[in-house]
Amino acid sequence: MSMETILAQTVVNGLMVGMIYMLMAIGFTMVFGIMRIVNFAHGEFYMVGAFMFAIFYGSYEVPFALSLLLAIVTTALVGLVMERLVFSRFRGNELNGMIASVGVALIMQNAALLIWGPSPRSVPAVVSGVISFGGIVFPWSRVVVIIGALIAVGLLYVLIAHTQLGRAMRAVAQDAEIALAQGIRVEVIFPLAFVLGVALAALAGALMAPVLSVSPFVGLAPTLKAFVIVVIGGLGSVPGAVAGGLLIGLIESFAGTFMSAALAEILQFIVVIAVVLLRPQGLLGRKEREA
Amino acid sequence: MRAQDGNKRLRFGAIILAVLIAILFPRFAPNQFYVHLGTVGCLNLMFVLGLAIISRAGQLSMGHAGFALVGGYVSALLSMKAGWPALLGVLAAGLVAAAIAAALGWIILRLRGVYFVLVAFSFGQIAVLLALDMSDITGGANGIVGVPPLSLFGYSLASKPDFYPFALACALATLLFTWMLYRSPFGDRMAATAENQRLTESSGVDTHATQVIAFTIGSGIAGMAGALSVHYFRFISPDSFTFWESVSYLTMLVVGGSAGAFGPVVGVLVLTPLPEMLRATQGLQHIIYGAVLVLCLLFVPEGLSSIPRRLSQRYRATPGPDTSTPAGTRR
Amino acid sequence: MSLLQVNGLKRVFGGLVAVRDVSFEVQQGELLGLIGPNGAGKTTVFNVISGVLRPSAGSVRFAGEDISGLPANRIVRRGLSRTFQAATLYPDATVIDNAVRGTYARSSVGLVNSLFPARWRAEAEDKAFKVLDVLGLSRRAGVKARELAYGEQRRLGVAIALAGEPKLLMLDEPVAGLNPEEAAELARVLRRVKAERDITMILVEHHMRTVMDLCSRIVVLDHGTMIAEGTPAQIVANPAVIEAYLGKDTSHA
Repeated sequence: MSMETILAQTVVNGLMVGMIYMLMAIGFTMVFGIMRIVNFAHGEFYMVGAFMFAIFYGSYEVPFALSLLLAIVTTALVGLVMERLVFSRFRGNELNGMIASVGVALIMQNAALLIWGPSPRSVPAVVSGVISFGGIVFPWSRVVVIIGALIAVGLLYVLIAHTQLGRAMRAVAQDAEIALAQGIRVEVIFPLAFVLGVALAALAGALMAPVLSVSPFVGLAPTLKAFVIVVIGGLGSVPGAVAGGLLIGLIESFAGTFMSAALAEILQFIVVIAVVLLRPQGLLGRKEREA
Repeated sequence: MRAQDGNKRLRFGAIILAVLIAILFPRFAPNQFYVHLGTVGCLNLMFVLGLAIISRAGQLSMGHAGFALVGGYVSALLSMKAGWPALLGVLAAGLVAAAIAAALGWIILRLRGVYFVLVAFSFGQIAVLLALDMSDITGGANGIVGVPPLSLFGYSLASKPDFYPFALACALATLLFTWMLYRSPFGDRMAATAENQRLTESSGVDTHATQVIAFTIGSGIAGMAGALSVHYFRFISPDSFTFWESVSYLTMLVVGGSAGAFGPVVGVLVLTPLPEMLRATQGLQHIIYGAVLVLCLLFVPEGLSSIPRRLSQRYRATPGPDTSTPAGTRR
Repeated sequence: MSLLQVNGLKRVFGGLVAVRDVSFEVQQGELLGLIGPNGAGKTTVFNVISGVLRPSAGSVRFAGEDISGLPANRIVRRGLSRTFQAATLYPDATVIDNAVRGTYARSSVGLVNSLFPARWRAEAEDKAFKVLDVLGLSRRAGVKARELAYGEQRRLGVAIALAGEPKLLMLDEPVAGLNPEEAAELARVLRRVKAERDITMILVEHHMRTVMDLCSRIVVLDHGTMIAEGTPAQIVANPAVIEAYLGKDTSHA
């Protein structure tokens, strides 16, 4: 393989991984921006989404698009239950809410363990084969991931920028008290935003299920990635999550191809520290008022 | 005043009794497994006290186990590759962990609390990943076996029951240190920083430095306790101190209560036996931990150790008017 | 002697110039009032002087040294304390513990203090009690701060700042939210504090009667700039000041 091919391949892989990370990060940063919750269980919804997809598409052979939809909806329901039972009770106490989310993560991960067992299961590929483009080879399965993620982000953009609901959500993220005074039903926005964030995580999990394998333990890594990306991109900033996700995906891909996996992780951590030192609000985040 | 003196004497007596029971515990234990549990409990107490110190200054370290892991590997490698006596290795482990915490803390503690949590968590994960990947040094996923035991004054603590008195002594020393720290002027500055950082800053206290110091001390303790564990189990691997450990220390802290130095003792006593008793179904054990954590936060957020105090307050007639205008504090 | 010198102070937030070209001096022993309509920039000036915000331009000199841009805790240790608008306290701590924490501006951590905390505590509580006495709170020493009446909480806020033995004390709307008797009482207390401890003070206030009663000199801000400076009598007669307040919200006594 020529250098250009390797480079191009690395870029494509980086973008694919970056898309998934982006979905995770957007969901996470939205929940934080609107509800001020650091959700340690975010990755577990990714895991549940992956399992739901594996069950519908793999075990019951439901058509692909419908499987995706069902996976998202069922996971969103689980998310709603968690929000009503646990997260809504910690409004105003963010620290305890965060610790509670750790408890939720534990419960979800080990419930999955008890229900489905620890062994990873594989899901049949959605589309087999590859597509060739100027000497670069893209497996169709990865292209599907990229397309799926792009569609989701596009729909999300339309929702946030051009609908009344999106305007309401942005208002709440800016200042919940003022939004309440303006007549926005904050009590409805909160669970809605949470479910939306969960849905994004579930989509990411479902899209990746055929590419990687599915087990109860796949949730922690996406959570970590979401955290790293959101620190880099800026807490509460969706564009920051997009940029950060793609950036991290590319760094990981390049470092993984040309260096070792360990160095890839360290490099990302260094990027985090550098951003924190040089631009603490994140690349696209809002500056805090006080000195 | 007399009632207070009597109270103090009662508490002091209770503490002496508890310490005596802890010392004589191996005599009454039905078998060695219980002594092992006791040792694990002592080590847990050290970890939780370290976390409590950090939390006392208002921060939450979700990467606590990362420092334990670093400390463990440092001591294992120093004693095996460099021939250091294990005790020295433990001290070195604590210093290394403290140094990393100081550097990391100085950088990230100036941020909003939430960013600190995320980066501290990332550190814990990075530590595990590094342990896995740097396999020439760390042995990779297989870890390091045959770590030499601790020896005190020439006597080797090779067998597990021998280790218990030493572990107890270390745990009690840490407890004493924590108690003295809390009562000291610096300890009050820590509590003030946690309760109202803006006001504390305006009272002339460098709250950033205060939090960094607390983070350094607490993580250093974790490093030392991690090293002690390694010389007890004679083994370390990337699986020894993961996010799950960070969570279990946090759970013990929450369940016990972080207000005083004795809350962690309660948390450790309640939760240490749990994993061992539920070892058969590991998944169930973790679910129970998670449920305990959430329920505790919902219903007893100040921890079990706060219950006696709250009961006695309700018992006494509260003087003064009940004009509860909340003084504005936001974390 | 000039204790505080503010020179050409400017502070920008994003695109908004909140404060521009503010210059004034405070002499030792004075009680200066800083007034202006809502949004005039008084609190911003306050926050820049006390180190909560950094100046975008200009300088602040205190006791002969440049303190512009220093972090708040270092400015406090040099003898410049402030109170806050909302009652900012340690709600779960007792009144005496609140006041003790105010003494940290003047005490060092110290290894000896850490090993023998009982003695340190006794000394600190001694100082704290004296401050509580001046503010009429010593009867309430054992009460939790959150259980105090609102007026008492405001006084506790002043006590905490005073416990640091400042040379200059800045008070941010100390009588806001108090009824007329409480406001008058606090004004009396402030006058007594100033006399007994020889402290210089700056008062940011909306409440005209308190300002006129207490202050020997007044600086008026409007839309981020100074529009007048002088004695209370001069300020009341100043046409620019009158115009600034005409039609805007003021709380009269």
